[in-house]
Amino acid sequence: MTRLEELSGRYFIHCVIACTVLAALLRIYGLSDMPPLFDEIGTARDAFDYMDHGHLGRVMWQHPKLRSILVYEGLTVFGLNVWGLRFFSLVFSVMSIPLISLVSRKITGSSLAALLSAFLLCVDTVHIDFSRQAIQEVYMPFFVLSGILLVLAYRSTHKTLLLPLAGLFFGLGMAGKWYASFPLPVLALVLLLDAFQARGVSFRVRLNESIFIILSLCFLPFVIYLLTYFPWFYHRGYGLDEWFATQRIMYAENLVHQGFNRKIVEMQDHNQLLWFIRPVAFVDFMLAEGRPIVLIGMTNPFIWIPTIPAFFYLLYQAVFSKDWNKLLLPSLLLITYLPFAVAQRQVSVNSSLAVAPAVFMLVSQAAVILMGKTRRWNIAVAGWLILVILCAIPLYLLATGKGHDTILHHIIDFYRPMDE
Amino acid sequence: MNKSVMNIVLVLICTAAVLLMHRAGLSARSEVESSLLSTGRLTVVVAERTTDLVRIWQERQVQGRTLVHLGRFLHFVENTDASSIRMNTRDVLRAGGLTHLTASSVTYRNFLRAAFERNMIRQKYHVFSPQDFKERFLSDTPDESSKTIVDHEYGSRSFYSNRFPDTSEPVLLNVDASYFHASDVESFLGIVRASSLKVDIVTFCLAEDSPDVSENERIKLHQALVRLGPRIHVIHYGRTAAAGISR
Repeated sequence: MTRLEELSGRYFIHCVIACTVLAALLRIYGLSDMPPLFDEIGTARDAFDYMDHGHLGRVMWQHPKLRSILVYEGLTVFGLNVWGLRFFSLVFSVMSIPLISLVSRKITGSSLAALLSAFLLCVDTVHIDFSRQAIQEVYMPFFVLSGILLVLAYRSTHKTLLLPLAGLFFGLGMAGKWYASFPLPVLALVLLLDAFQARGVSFRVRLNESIFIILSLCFLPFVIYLLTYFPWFYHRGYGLDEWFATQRIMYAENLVHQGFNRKIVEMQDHNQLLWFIRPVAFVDFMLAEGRPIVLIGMTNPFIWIPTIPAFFYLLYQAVFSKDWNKLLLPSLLLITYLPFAVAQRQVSVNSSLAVAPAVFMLVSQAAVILMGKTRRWNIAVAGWLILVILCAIPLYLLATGKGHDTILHHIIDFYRPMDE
Repeated sequence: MNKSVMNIVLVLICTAAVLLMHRAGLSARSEVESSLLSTGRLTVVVAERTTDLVRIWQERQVQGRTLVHLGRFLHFVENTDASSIRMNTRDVLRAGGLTHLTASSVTYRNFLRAAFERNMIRQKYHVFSPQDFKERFLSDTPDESSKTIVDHEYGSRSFYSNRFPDTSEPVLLNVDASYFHASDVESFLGIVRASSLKVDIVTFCLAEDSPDVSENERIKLHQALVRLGPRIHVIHYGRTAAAGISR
C-alpha cells in the first residue's frame, strides 16, 4: 500500500466531508441571483399541473414524473422561490459526492480512488450546471449510486432488507429518467452468478435467493415507478391498461425527441458519440436584468477523453490478473453508455450524467493503479490532476453564467444560434 | 429474515400496490346508470351552445370519463393567449399551473379541451361522418370502414374514426349538429341501431355559438332526435330552456 493510499484510508471521512462541503459551495454560489430558466418555468407549471390535476404536463411530458413531485414539494415546503424550485436538485447533487466515494471504495477497495472519484464529480461542470436547475438530471447519479451501494452492501453482508431498499432507490431513479435502470442487469447478473456459484448451499436456497434478487431488482423498481403516477390515476381516472398505453406513447416520443425549442436545440452538442472524443456542452440561455446570461455545462476533456484508454486498461488488468471484480466498472460504463451510443436519435450531453459516475470511478481506479507502479507515473497522474483542476476553473465560470464578460465570451459565441 | 418469507411479502406488496393504483383510477370516474344506446331508455339533454356542455358535465360532476363525440370539428384548440405563455417567474411560482381554461375563455373552438383539462374527460373518441373523415384525413385506403386513427394529447389518447368504438365502458355521448354536415338522419340512425355502446349522459348540441354550423344541420339534429322514438326523454338546456337538467 502506498503512503498516499494509507493517508487516504486514515483521513477518508474527513476528505469526503471536505469534498462534500466544496461541492455544496460550488453549487450554491450565486444561485439566488440566477433567475429560473425557460425549462424551469415549465417545470414549475408542470409540477402544479401534475400534483393538483394529474396532467403529465406540457414541458417534458414524455419524461417520468418524479421531478414534478419533488419540485412541487420543494415549492410547497420551502416557498415559491428559486430555492424551493431547486432544493432537491441541490440536495441530490451534493449527496452524490459521499455516495460516489463509498461506491468507489466498495468496488475498487481503494480509498484513494474513492476520494479521486468524489473530487472529479465535485468539480464536474455538467453536474454543477444541472445541480443549479430544477431539472431531474442530477437525481440520477444520486439514486443510481445509492442503489449500487446497497446492492454491493447486500453482496458483502447478505442483510435481507438491503436489496429491496436498493430496488426502491432504482425505482425512484427510473421515476426520474428511465436510464436509471441501465445498471440493473449488470448488478442482477452479478448477484445471480454469486447465488448459483455458492457452495454448500441447496438448490432450494439458491432458487429462493434468485427469486429474491429478481423481485427486488426487477419487480419492486417497476412498482415504485408505477406508484409515482398516483396523481395521474387519481385525478384523471385512468386504469392500468391505459397507463401501459401512455408509457408506450412516452417511449415513442423519447425515441425521436429533439427538444421543444428550436433555438435552444440549435445551441446544443447533440452527438453522444463525441462524449469521449472532445468537450461537449449543454447550453441554456436567459435574460436577467436586461442582460443575457448563458449557462454552458461542458464536459472536462481531461476526464472524459482518458475514459476509453482507462476502460481498456482495466479490461487488460482484469484479464491479466484474473481479478474479475475489476470488470465491474468497465461493465457499468458499458451498460450505461451503450444504449445512448446506439440510440437512433442524437442525445444531449445532459444525459451523460447517467454515465458520469462510472466514468469518474473508472478513470480514478485506472489513475490509482498507475500511481502504484512507478514514481514517474505518480508525477504523470499528479500532472493530469492539475490539468483537470485548471480546466475546471473556466468551465465553472461558463456553467454559472459568469463567462460572458470575460475572454470566455468567444466560447459562448461559438454556441450562438446561426441566424443571430 | 427468511428469503421465502421475504419473497412472499414482496409479491404481496407489489401486487397490492398495482391493484390499488388501478382501483384508485377507476374509483375516480363518475358514473350513473347506463343504458344501451341502440335499444335502451335514454335521457337526452339538448344543449343550445357547445359551451353549455361543459356546464352540463360540471353540474353532473362528470370526472375521468370517456367521451364519444360525433361532429365535424375537434373543439380542441390550445390556449395560445400570450399572457398565459409569456408569464414571468413570479407569476408562475405564485399562481402554480396556469394551463387550464377559465370559464370565460371556453368557446366552441376549445370546449372539449376545457373538459379535458378539468379532468371531466380522460380520453375521447371522435366519430366523423364517412365523408368528413375522408376529407380530414385524406385517406387513400380503399376500405376506410375499419380505420381508426390514434393520436395523443400530452400522453392522453384520442381516437378518430367514422364508426362508434367498440368499448364496454359506459361513455358520455355528444352528438353535435355539425355531424350532419355530410351525413343524413338515416345513416345516423343506422349506426345507432348497430351500436353496442353503453351510455349514461347523452347530449345533443345545436351548436348555436358556432358560425360553422348551418341551420340545416340543426334541423337534421332535431329530426334525428324525434326519429329515435319514445324511448328518449328530452331535456332542453340553455338560455331559452324552461328549466335546467334533472339529476
